[in-house]
Amino acid sequence: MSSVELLKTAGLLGVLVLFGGGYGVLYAVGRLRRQRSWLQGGYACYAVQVLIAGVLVVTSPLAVGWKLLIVFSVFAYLAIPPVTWRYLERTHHEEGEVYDS
Amino acid sequence: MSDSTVSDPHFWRAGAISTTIIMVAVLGILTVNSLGAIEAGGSHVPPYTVINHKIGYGPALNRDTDAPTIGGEQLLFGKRYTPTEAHALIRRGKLVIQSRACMDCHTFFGNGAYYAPDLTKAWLDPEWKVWKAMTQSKTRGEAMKRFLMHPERYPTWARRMPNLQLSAQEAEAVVAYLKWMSSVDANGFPAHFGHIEKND
Amino acid sequence: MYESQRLALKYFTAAIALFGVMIVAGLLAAYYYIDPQILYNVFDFSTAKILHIDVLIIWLLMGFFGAVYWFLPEELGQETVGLGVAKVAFYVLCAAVLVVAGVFIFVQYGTSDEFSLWFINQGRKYVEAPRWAALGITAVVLVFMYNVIGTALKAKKITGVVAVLIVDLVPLFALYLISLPAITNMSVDLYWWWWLVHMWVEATWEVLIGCIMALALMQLLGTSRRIVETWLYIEVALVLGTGILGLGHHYFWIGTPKYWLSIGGLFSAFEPLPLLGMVVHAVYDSGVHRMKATNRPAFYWVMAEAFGNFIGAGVWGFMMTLPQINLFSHGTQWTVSHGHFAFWGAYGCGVIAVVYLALQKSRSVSYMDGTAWKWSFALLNIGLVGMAGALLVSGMAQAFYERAIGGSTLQAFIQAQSSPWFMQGMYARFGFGILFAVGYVILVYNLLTVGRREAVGAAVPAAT
Repeated sequence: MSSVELLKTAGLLGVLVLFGGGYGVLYAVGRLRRQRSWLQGGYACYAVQVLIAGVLVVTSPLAVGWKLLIVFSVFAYLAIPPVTWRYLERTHHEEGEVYDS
Repeated sequence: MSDSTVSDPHFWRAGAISTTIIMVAVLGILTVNSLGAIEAGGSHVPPYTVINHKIGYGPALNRDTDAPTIGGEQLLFGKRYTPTEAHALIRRGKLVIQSRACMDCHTFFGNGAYYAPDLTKAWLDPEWKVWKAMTQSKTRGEAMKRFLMHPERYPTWARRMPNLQLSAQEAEAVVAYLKWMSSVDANGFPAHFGHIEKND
Repeated sequence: MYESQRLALKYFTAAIALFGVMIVAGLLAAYYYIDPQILYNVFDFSTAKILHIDVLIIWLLMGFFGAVYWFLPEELGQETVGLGVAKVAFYVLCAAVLVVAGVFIFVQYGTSDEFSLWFINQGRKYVEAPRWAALGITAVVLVFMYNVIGTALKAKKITGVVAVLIVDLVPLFALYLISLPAITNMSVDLYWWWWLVHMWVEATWEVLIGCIMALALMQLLGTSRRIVETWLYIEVALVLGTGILGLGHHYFWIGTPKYWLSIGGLFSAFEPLPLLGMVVHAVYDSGVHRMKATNRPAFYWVMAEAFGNFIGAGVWGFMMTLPQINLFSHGTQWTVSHGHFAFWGAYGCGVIAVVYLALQKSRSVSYMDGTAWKWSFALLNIGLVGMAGALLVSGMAQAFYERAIGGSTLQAFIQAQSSPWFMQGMYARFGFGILFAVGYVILVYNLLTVGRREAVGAAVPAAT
């Protein structure tokens, strides 16, 4: 890997996770406040994450296995916030702790 | 999965226990294998008597990074060490490294502190050619030994190594340690050792 | 207040005091990069660094002990068993820390023999403390385990959280024994050393702080036990599921076989995923339970824990965990950046949250708020993020110039360390370190005074 590729790839990997986090946070706030604008912000973050993953897959010097790992991760990032939220709501509901905004 | 199962803490407790057990078991198997490879004389780590040989570093078959090479005889401090002597010397070297807390300024295989240079390939560093002249030494080992005993006499740059009161035997032991360590196959670490990137 | 909780307050006091010592040592260590001539051969970088990283481990451990001594009796409805021994252990630990620090500062190093390892310096990172002290710490941990297990036995009660805690303490203790031997072969030494360091901070400590946060959330937000336990088990499964083989990301370059590049890279690449779940959970708690939070600083520090953990360990870690990147970043200031951010996010914030919770109870404050905590929260977090950012710049410069371009030789190291980007990062890191230190001073002031005066603790909550 060249020096420039190093910084570019590492930077993109970090930003990939950061936008995944952004999606998680904004999605959660959107579900909390029941406001579409936050949810849309979350999906926008996820779209950026997918874009970054695409750039990594197409341009980075990583081997195929690692690119597949990135693709798989991006699917996992998509699922984790809604699955977590749904499970949080269910477990709290069962304990009688219901959130009314 | 039924609703009640997923909501049941015991389901997740079973998950936590089984996941942990499986992972620990896999780690155990890999540990047995790795320890075999990294003991002195194993597939990745040469025996301590490698200090009697010339050590190099260059391209290797089926590898995308350089790998250490072990060549013909190249004695250290003019002595041919038996396996027992080499082990004792290297053991002493490690005691020096620990008692002087070298890892709290330097790194070994990249582990330690980052104030001073990494020592993984220090034995092979091209700079020793210059240091042989500076320390008026005939051999690389002699140059390293003189430096270690009186680093304050040979300023490196703005950051200088302190004098840690190494005796001659301790200095020789550390040099032997660094020579042995440079022969360990570290999967290409540190990156591009000895190669300078060309600008296109 | 239980006697155990009085001991907890002692542990918290010692922890916060040592936090300050860590900062002083850190500022000094940082300053050598700016002026390498200071104290040459009198007090060198290595001594400052040893104090900085060893005190880090001790203050966090003391925070964890304090947290458990605080929550345990209420959790089990029973005063902690063996408190007499526990109190002795506390003072012995404090005395040992003082002696060890004194020897590090005034003796510094010995000759290459067993005496030095037993009484002066073992020279292995984080566990430099001489063997006599390592054995002492082992004894203190055993006392702690006796306290926890003995209390559960006497109460004839074990909750899910306490069960996880007890099971976690066994490897936590056993792994520490790795601090004792001196191993000649560096590859073998590092192999086992990483079991201790990784399986402490990326496994058993994660579970321990998870248990502590579970106990804290039940108290802070009144969350039901069933919910907290469910999530604790999920967290343990995910953290250990990714972290045990994630240990392999330390086995890329120490002489171990190549399969570790794949295994370590793969599992540690998964490590951010549970942290994402934690962040979502934190947002949920902030909204759903906000009305019930009666301790604003504790609540904010718990939130900081979730976010700091995700960014410091998750984002920063993912940047450098793939072996193709790590080959260049390993053993550079990039690692330092990640280490500072991850330790802070994963553990520092959590310990501070628990201290505020304990103070609320010990000073009988119905609603804890104020101004000073906000200043310390802001300065500590801005200071830390600033340091991590500055170190990232220096670290990337180092990986770029020294490793990728320069070929990792001595000359390449020197050139990279002298490069403008690197040096600017070092200056900025020092500046943010000062901010962090100011935040610490305000934290201490706040912890000493919050809830003691009517005006501060008497703010009326927005809604109940």
